[in-house]
Amino acid sequence: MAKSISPRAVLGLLLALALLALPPVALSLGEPFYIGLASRMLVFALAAMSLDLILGYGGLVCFGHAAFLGVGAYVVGILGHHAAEQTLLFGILPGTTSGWVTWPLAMLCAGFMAFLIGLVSVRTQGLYFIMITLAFAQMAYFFFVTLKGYGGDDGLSLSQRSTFSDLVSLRDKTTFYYVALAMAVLVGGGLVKVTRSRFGMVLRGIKENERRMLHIGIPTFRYKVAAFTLAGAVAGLAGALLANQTNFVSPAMMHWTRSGELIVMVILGGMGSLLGPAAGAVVFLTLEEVLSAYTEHWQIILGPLLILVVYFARQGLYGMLPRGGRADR
Amino acid sequence: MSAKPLLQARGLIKTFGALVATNNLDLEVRPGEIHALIGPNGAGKSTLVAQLAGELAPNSGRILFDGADVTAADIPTRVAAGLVRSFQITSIFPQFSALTNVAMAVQARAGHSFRFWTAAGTDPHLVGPAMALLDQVGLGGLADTPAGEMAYGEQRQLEIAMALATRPRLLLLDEPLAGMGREDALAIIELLRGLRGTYTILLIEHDMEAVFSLADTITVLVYGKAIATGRPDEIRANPDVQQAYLGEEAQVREVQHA
Amino acid sequence: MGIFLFAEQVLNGLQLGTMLFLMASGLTLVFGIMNLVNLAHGSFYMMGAYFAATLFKLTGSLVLAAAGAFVGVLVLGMALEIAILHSFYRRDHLDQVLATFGMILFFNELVRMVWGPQAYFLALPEALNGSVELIPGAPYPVYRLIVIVVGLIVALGLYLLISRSRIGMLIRAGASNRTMIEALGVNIRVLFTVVFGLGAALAGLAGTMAGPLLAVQVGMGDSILITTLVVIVIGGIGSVRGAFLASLLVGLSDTFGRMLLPASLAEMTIYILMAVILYRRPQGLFPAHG
Repeated sequence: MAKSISPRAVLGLLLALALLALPPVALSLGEPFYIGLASRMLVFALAAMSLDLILGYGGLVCFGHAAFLGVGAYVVGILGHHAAEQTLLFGILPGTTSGWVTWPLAMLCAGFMAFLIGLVSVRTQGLYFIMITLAFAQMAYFFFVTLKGYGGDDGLSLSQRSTFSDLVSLRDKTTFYYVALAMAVLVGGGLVKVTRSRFGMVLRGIKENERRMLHIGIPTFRYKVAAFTLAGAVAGLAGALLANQTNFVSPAMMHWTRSGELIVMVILGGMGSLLGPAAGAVVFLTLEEVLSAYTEHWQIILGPLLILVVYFARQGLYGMLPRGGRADR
Repeated sequence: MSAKPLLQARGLIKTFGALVATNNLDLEVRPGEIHALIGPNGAGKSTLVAQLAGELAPNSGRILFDGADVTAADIPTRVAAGLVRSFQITSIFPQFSALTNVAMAVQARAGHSFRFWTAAGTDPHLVGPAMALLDQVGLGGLADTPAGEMAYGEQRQLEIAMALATRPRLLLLDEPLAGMGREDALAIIELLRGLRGTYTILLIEHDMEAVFSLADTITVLVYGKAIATGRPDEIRANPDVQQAYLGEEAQVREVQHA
Repeated sequence: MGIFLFAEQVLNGLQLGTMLFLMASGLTLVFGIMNLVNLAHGSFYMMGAYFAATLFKLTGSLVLAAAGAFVGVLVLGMALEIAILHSFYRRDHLDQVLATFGMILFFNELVRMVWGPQAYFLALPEALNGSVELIPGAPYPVYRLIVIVVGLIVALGLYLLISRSRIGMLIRAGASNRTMIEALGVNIRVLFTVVFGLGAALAGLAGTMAGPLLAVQVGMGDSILITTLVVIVIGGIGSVRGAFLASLLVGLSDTFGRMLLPASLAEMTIYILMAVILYRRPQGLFPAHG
C-alpha cells in the first residue's frame, strides 16, 4: 500500500459515508423524493458498470445494452403479472413475485440473450459490431412492443415489488434503497475483482492488441462472448431492480436511445475504471433532473453538451482525477 | 538432431489476383536449428510467414508441424502446438508494463484464463516466470515500465520474451533486427545464439552479417520460390544466389557504407 | 397468394427499397470516404420532411416544397460538416457515434420546440392521390410509383456521377489516397463538405417523399436510421453498389415479412436477414475496404 493516501481513496471514503447516510438525512429534511432518485442512480450505476466491463475493458462497443436491462425488467414484470392474474406463463408456469426466483431468472434470461447475441456479433469488428448490437436491441424492442398480452407499447405495471419471504419488504423506499446499494456494492465489487483476474487481463489484452492475443495463443472469441454474457447478466439484475424501482416495465426501457445514454454514462465517468461509469451514471441522472427542472426541452442542452464532452473530455471524470500512489498496473 | 523436419511447407501456393506471391514453395526446418530465410524485397517472405503463422490461408499446398497437418488450423491452435511468431512491426501491449506483457503470454500458455476471482497481477505463477524471462532477454530492470515508453530496441527484446513465454517449439522471427542500431542488433544476435538447440528458429532477416553468423541453414527466396537451400558457405558460393540476390545486396551495402 | 397481391407487394418492397437507398447511399459514402459514422443521418430525413411540410403549407406548391426542402437540408448538412463534424473525421468511431447521437437529441428536441410533438399528415393533391393500373385489374397508387421512379433516377444519377464524372473520380480517389488528391491541387475540405451535403440532401429527399406516406413527426428519423444501418451493414459499409442491392433486398424482405409473418416475427425479418448474412460474410456483401 502506498504511504500517502491518494485523493481517490479519500473521495471513496466520503462517498461511502454519503451513500449510507442519505436516507435518514433526506427524511429528516422532509425530502423523501431523493431516496427514490438515489435508488434509481444506484440501479443505473450498476448497469453502467456492467457496460464498462465490455466497453471499457474489452473494447466492445455494444449499442444495445439497454435491451438486457429491459429483458431483466420484463422477467420480473411478466412473472408478477401472472402471479397477480393467477394465470400460467406459457400455460404451465405459475407466476411469482418472489425475488428469490425472479431476480436470478432475470440474470439468467438476460445473460442467455447476451450469449446468443454475442455469438453472432463478436465475429464482427469495429463499426459492424456497433451496428449489429444496435440492430439486435431494436429487435428486442419491437418484440416487446408487439407483445399485446403484456401491455405492448403501453407497458406493464407491477402490482407489487419483489418479495423476499418476509426478510425485507421492498415496499419501503428506504429499504429498497439499501437493497439497491447492497447490490451495487456487492456486484460492483465482484466486477472489480473480475477486471483484476486472469479473465479480466485477457479482456484488457484483447482491447489493447487483439492480434497479439491470438499470437500468444488466446482464442479471443470465447472470451469476448463470455464477457458479453456476464455483462448481460449483470444488466439483467439492474433491470430487475429498475422494474421494482419504477413499479413499471415498458419497451421504452430498451429503446436504442437508452443504450446510447448508457454509453454516455460510461464515457462521462471515464471508461475502463468501473467506478468512473458508476459516477457517470449519477452525474448523468443528476444532470437530467436538474435540466428538466429548468425546461422540458432539456435534451436540446444535453445534445450539444454531449458533443462538447466527447470532443474535449474524452477521458471522462475519472480520467481527470489526479493520480495518487503507484500506477495501478 | 533428428532428421525429421519440425516444420514443413509442401507445394505452398498463394495468389492475390494475378500476383503469385508464393509459387509452389517447399521448405523444411529441422528441429534445433536456426534456419534463415533470405531474399530480395518482394520475394514473398512476409506472405510466407503469414501463411505459416496462420493469418493467411494458402490457395493450395500443405503446412505440417511435427508431422501434423496444420494448414487449416487457426492461430491459437498453432501457438498451442508450439508454432509461434514475432512481428516485424512491434506488436506489444503498450499500456501494460513490460512485466504484464510477458505475464500475459505466460498466462496464455498456462491456460486457466477463465478464472474470475484471484488477482492476476500478483499471481506468483505468472509473475515469477515472467520476471525470469525478462531477465533472460536483459530487460529485468524495466519490469514496471509501460511497454509503450520503452526504447525501440527494448521493445524488440520484449517481443522475443513474450514469444518465449509461450513455450514455443519453433519460433518464427520476422526481421527481429529491423531498424536496429549496431549495438542493439548485436545483443539480439547473442540472445538468439543462446536459444539455439533449445528452440528451433525460422529467421527472416535482411541483415546478412547476422544471417551468416547465426544460421545453420539458409533458404533463398526469389519471387515466391525457394531457389536454393543449404549451409551458409554453400549458399555464399551458389552462383544463382549470387546473381539473384547477394550481388544486388552487396552493391546496395557498398553504397550505404560509402 | 394471388399474382396481383404478389405484384403489389413487390412494388411496395421496391418503393421501400428505393427510399432506403436514398438514405443508405449518403450514409455509406460518408463512411467510405471520410470514415465518419453519422447517426444523425436520420435527423436529415426528419428535417427534409418538416421543411417540405412547412413549405407546402406556405406555398401550396409541391415542387417548391420538395426543391426547397432539398436545398434546405443540403445547406444544413454542409453547415454541420463545417462547424462540427469535420473535426471528428480522425476520431475513433465511438466518439463519432456519441457526438452524432448528441445531434439526434438536439434535433429531436428542436423539432419538438418549433413544430410541437404532434404528428402532421400531408394531404396529396388530387392528381397524385389516385391509382394507376399497370396491370389491368390491379390498381397501384401513383404516388408510390413516383417514389420508385425518383429513387431509381437518383440511383442512376449517382452511378453516373461516381463512375463517369471527374467529381466521382475524385471521390473514389479521395477515399483511398487523400494526400495524392491534395497534391493534385484539389481542395479536399470542400470535396468532403460537398459529399456530406449531398448525402444529407438525399436523406432529406427521402424524408420529403415519406411525408405523405407516413406521418411527419418527432423522432421519425430514428427507426429508419436503424433500418438504413442494417442496409449498409448488409451491403458492405462504403459500397454504394452494395447499398443499392441491400436496399432492395431489405425493402423486399421487410415487405414480404410483414405480409407473411405474425406481428412479432415480422419486425425481426430484416434483423434475422442481417444476422444470417453477417454470419457468412462479417463485412457485408461488397466490402469496400478490401
